[in-house]
Amino acid sequence: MDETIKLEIRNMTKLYKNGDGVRDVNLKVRKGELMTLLGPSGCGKTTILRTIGGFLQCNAGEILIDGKNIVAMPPEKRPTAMVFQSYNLWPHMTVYDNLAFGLKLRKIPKPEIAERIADALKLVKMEGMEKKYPNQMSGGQQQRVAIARSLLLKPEVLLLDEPFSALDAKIRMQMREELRKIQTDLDITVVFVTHDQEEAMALSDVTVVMNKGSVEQIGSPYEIYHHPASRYVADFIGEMNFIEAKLGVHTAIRPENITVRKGPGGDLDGTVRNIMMLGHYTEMIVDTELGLIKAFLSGGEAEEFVRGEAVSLYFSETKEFSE
Amino acid sequence: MSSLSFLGPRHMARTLGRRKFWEVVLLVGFLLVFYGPLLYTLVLAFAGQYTYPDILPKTWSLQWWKYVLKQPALIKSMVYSFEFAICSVLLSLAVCLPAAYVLARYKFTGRRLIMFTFLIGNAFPKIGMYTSMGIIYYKVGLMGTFLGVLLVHMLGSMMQMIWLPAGAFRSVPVQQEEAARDAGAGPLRTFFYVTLPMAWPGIAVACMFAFIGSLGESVGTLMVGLPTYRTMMVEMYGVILDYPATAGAVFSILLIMPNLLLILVMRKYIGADTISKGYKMG
Repeated sequence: MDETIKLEIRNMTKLYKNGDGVRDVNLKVRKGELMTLLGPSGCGKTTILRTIGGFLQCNAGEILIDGKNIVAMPPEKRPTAMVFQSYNLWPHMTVYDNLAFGLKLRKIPKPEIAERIADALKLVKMEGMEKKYPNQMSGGQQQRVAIARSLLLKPEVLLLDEPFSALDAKIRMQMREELRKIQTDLDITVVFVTHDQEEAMALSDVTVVMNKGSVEQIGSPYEIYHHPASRYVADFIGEMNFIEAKLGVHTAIRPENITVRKGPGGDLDGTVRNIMMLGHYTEMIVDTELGLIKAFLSGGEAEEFVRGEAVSLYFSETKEFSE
Repeated sequence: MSSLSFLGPRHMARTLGRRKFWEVVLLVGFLLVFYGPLLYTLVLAFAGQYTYPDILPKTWSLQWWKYVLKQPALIKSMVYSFEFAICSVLLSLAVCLPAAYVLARYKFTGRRLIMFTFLIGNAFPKIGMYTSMGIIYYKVGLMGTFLGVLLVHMLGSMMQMIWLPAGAFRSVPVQQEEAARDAGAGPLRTFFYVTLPMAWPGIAVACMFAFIGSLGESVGTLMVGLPTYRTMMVEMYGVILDYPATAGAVFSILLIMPNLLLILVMRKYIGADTISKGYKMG
């Protein structure tokens, strides 16, 4: 991957009248990189995206694309393109007109517009849909067109604001894969906002975990999953057991890092509260003196245990967070 | 006549059932009250020889149409009516659309109060307002002028021309405009290519009401426009007094026709939805 920094946010603060917003954000996105901003609703991830797109004015700080500060520019002058959650195709225009809108404004000759649109539709697997109106298409199809519309603008940075969250699970997965493929094929720089950690994990080169208006951790999905920098991140990403063995010190253990054996003598002992078969793995809840612990077992392992049985838990990987 | 006996009330009551029978009677009654006068006007307008107690004229003729269409004063009044209607709609659009957009999109203190003031204009008896306007008109020299009459007509439709478009603008998602800005359109282009087309149904309905309202305006025009600007509605007073009833019927059909036509053309836009969206204070 190219090491040049495409997008940089420096000490950016955007506060709303009610005191919400983001404080002192610093981010760097390399060329061709896909960065996700991940966090619960209200954590400020969309605020960051909208300040990059120019739909919000930041109170302080700089946003640089290719080293040029774009903070003072209106959205139409910025080299960014945004894909919205609710697709936002213009309902009174055909797919072709939706796609041609930005190109016409750029004074591109008509034959070239037609050519580029055909290419873009092929890219998002929507060939031959030029004459359709948005309301004649499904949500997934509309979002494909919306992505094509943004790609046609040849943005320096593509911004996506929870683009798949209104789609059903199956189409969501499919779109995710295709987006990732298009992004790597075209080598475009992407900032992707999501509240879905699975989506963030699956898509990102870099994930930014956010909490209440500030950045908690920046790292690859692997780093964030295996080396969470704070208890918040550990708790937010994936499943995590927390036990307070010493006062004020919380030990975090992932359910998949627990081995369950019969009888006492483990890192922690308890009795089986519940066993749930969840497809290719089984979830076991164990009642211990330090609270309920969740463990993931492979299907075969779980067969041996019954509810109410005394078991011992062995932890292979733990992490401690002090308060 | 025996073959038509099924039309007799007794027979009907038997076939329809007592309840149904009264429902039909009620419906016919309503239809007569609503459409009877209109129907009578229509018959009257095309009547040749027509004397009491005949229900339908003995002969049909277009003589009163010819007569009315030969009166230069009446023709002139039609021209005036349409001039005022078209000009007042266009001018209202120019003034009210920007106002409606601001009211729909920007939250500022006093917004509701401003919306409310347009409502107040409709709460007074119009005649009182026109009288006070007349006093001002005399002072500034607007009495008997085209602009003076135009302003009266605009005033009548001001509320609809603000509220309905404001509702229509409100129903255009902000993100649709943002997507246009994102694609490279400035604020003006965004308005004309995205916002206006999307809000058009609501605006069109407002224009229609304003047009019909202007055609139907009489009191204000009478007070401000005389003696020069005698629109169809103003002439109508004279026609009722001076011409035979048949000529009046012709004239009133001429008055109704544009309204009917407009409503027919616009019927796909006119819906409870468009109108109720407009009358929300939001």
